[in-house]
Amino acid sequence: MNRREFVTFGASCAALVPQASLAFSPSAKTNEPPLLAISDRRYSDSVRFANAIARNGGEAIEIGSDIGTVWFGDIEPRLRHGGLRLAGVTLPSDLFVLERLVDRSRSATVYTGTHDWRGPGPCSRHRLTGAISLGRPASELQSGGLDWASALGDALIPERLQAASLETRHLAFGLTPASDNPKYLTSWLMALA
Amino acid sequence: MRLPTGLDQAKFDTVCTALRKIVGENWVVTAEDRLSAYDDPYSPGLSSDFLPSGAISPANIDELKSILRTATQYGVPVWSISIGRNYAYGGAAPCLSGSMILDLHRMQAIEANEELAYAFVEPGVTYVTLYKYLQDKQQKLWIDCTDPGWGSVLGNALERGVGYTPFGDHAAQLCGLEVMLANGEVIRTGMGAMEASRTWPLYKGAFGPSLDGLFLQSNFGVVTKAGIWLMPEPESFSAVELTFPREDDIVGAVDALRPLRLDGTVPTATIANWMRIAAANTTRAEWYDGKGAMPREAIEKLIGKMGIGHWNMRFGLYGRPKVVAENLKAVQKAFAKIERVDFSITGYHKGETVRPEHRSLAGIPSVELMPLNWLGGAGAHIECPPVVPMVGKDVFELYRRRSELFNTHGFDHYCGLTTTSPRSFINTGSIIFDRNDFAQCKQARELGAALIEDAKVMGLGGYRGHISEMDLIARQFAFNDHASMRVNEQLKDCLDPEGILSPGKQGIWPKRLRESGKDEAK
Repeated sequence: MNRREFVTFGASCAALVPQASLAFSPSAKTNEPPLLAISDRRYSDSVRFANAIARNGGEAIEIGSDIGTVWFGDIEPRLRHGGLRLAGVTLPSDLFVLERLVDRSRSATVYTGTHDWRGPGPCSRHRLTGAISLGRPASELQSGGLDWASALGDALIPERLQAASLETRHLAFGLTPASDNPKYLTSWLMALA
Repeated sequence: MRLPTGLDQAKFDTVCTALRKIVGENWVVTAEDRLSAYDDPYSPGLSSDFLPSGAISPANIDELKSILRTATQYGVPVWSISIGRNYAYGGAAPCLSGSMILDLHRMQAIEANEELAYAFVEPGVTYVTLYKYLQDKQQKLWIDCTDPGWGSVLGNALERGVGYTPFGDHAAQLCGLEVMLANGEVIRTGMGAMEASRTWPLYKGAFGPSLDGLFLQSNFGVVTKAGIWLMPEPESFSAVELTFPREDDIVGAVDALRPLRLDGTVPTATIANWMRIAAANTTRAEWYDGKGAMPREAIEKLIGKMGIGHWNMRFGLYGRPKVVAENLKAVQKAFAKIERVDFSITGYHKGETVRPEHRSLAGIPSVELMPLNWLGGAGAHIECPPVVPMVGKDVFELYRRRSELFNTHGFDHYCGLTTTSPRSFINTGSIIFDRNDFAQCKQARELGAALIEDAKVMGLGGYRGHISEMDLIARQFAFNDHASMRVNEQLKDCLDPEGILSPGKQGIWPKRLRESGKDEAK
């Protein structure tokens, strides 16, 4: 039984779909590697994030059956032609798989965020880490409300980020999760070589 | 990083210089940041006990031979891996800290023969690579893959891994090994012992004793190549899924399955409890936000909402359509006597697109680690699967005992039963934990040890184990004052007298480390 086909229960199937039909297009600065956003259609927050990246010149790619199929079928072939930036709001396991697939290369995860709605009460906990200036992603997240994932996507466009020394921010505030939210998500940005 | 025992930094640098001359600058890794790729990513708080000193990646057996010569000269232990994705059992990490990882992932040769349905593979060939190779060559052969399918075909077979098609017993598909011994000598097992043998990958026997088994889950040599049998693409197959609502339905389900496995109607099967299905599709927080194991009421609610059984069985039936249809009738008849059993059957003809949820039944690899998300946080899991007789009451008793242990240690019981051998199950029981949670790591380690000890009480032994549990499991194979281990140690001393190959694997330590090895590994 594949999890993404298992849509008969609960409210796990997101109503939104990513803008996967967008043509592959390099980002605004022609010398920058293309930016791809991974989208998990079961989770509205994931789709919203990917759509925000796509609106900003990146490309949204939907996880079909599994993250490995996306990697081997789509990302890895593109990587043979040059570097890529990859971003997403996904379950932690998808980031884990991607990091392991590139662990013996010069690729790096430049930013990760964990977004945690587990436990009682309206408070959500967020931990942002990266060698980038985290001010904007943190404030966009905090003020994003229901559309926090789109706001975070806008903030994580690489051309808008500033390099900084490694920093971690812990945030806790009331942020309403989407109805299909699995209560724990990661946001991330990778530079693939 | 830990230096090999007995070597100071200067000496180790000398070793690395010598190794770099063999494989080139890029293929010897000692920098901490790059070496982290060889950590155990699922370690239950034990990473610092299993640290390598470096990693070296040969491209071919000539380089491998030179590496082993250098390792012997300087007394540097090497821990061989194919890809290093033996996650839940330690990944690439060595039993003995300070070992150098002998990373064989660059050896990626494939040679497939459609007519006789086999392939030769080197250690770096993954399921994904082999699958794509056969697809690209349009060879009508199926592979059998693990789930996830990003690991080494050869490595998994050597570890006695399992899959989901009639070729799911991976070790049983091996036919002919090429092995480099510690002294650099290359042997070929079976018919491969002949010069220019035409039947090496076709016939498992030889003239004389079979040596193959010595190199499975072993540290007697480094396997550099193997013949592996592949499955001719069947004319059709049906994916059969059954759900059983009640916990004690497992007794009838197993007893109904057994005759079908013994007579070959069902070639292999997997049974998953509610948790395995839930963790493969959802997160725990979607169902329950309390601490400790989920209470029964929450589990029942989950089962009802997901529309699954307490038990969920799945297998494929393969062959000509008429044969599959007949076998389906036998399956339906066998299980119909169980109250409220629910059948789902999906048929496929040759060439038809297989739905994602049935791909593993058709040997199509995917990489999905959804259960890591069950608790949230930095998900990980360890395994200590015992082998249990395919008898309903035995399976149920084991399940109840393990449920009790999982729950008292604060974990939900994840249970999978896989039968690639017709008389037994391998009982996978992932202990899923947050590897950043110190207390949970400790609980996971304690549960792992408790499960191993409890299985022994039932006369059941583990078929595989995490590197931190290998000594414990090995000690349980104690018939006649550990006679089996004593023979293993004699073989180790004979085939690897300097003890450089994967010290401690499966509890087999070289002579010089036999007393100190377990402490040295800490």
